[in-house]
Amino acid sequence: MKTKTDVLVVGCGPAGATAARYLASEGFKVVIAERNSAVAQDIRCAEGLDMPTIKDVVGEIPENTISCRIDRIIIDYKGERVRLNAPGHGVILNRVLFDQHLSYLAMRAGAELILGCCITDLERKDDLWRAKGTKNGESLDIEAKVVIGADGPESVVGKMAGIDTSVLPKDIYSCCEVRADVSGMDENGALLLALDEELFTGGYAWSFPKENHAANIGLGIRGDAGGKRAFERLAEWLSRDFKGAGVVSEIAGVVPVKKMEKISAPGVFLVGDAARLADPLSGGGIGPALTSARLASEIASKLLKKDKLEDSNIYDKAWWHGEGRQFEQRLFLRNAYIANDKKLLPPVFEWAQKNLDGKNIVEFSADEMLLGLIKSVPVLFKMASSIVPTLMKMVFK
Amino acid sequence: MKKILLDHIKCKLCGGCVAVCKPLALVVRTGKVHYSPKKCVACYNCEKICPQGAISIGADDEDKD
Repeated sequence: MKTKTDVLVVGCGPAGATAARYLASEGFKVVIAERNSAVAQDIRCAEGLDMPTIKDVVGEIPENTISCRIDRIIIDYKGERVRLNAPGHGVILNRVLFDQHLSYLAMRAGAELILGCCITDLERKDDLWRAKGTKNGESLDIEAKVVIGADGPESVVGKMAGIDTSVLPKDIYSCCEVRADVSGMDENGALLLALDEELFTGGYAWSFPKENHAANIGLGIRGDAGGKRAFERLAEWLSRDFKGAGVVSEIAGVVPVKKMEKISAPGVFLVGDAARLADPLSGGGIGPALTSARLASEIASKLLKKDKLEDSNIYDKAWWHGEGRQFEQRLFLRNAYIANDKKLLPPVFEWAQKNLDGKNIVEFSADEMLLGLIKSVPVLFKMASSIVPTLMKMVFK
Repeated sequence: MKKILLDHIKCKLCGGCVAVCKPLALVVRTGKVHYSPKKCVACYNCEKICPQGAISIGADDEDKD
């Protein structure tokens, strides 16, 4: 089968569906190639997101796409806990319904979704991208002016288009997660973040509340942590802190986090995890997926109209000077944390126990918290004095 | 060169091995990770990051290639 289109979107997750919706609503012919035979078939996600980002990029969403609203946070350090009230913006999604909703929006805008379609080759010819793929074992040829790579952590679009998107083990979080029943437990309905420099090397563990007293319980460790695998560490944590929680599913996932040299090529735009844009500190990927997809499609639309796709690297500049601006600073903070976690965690947690426990998160600003922390934790003060100049340079460059 | 060995039962298709593979020796296709030894540069980063421990390094088979 042969198809000609303005835009080929590879992958129908939050990023792909958002880009497709935007470009289709601009009047372009859009084809989405989804590898699986169903949208949201293999969700590998803790499902946390903030409402302002959803409202900003997607608009109002059906109530059933939200699994649980966050109003309590627990911070755990080796079994000791600090509790905070945090009524506000955080939600845990039902990613299956959320992704389906985004796909419906894309299709209502006019995009065509091809399920079970695997793209296996990309070639640039006469200012067009020729994609080869398969659908149900039959070969498929798609000719497109623009290709949006929204094919997740295992993205191949970039590599096939000549953008090296590979990362090193140090640039990736290796993650495992279960869905389990936490009824009757402290974690029921609360967002738990757990730190332990040995068990969760370079990363953290989480329990994100879901409907029906369930939770997504998982962890992410640095890819170069060595020692036990993510799944073994998760089993250890579950048997320590979640005894009796009935597990109904097990998944594995990765979060690549790196500032890539390029996230575009002429006519090609990488978005979301395919562009390695997850938040360096939290590992959250849905927010950047939505915002990068919006930016990429806005720029693709303009360039398509002007027939100037050779200028696609405008997207790189716009991202790193706009929404991606904080990425570098957060990556720097993450690396500073990784280098000092053993020295840092005990005094910082002690400070949190004294100053934060039982309070409402709206009572203090992030700046106040940071200042209080730096004043009372000498290690942090030393670190801050070496970090601040570098951070300043990043902010004001 | 030592090839890698994939354990498809342990593999949960997280795609991590594909993310760290520069030469596209690993890809996910039709619900399975596919390995092309000819493209592999033997960096073994895939073995390091696999959350499931589903990748191991095989015996040296230089003579057979």
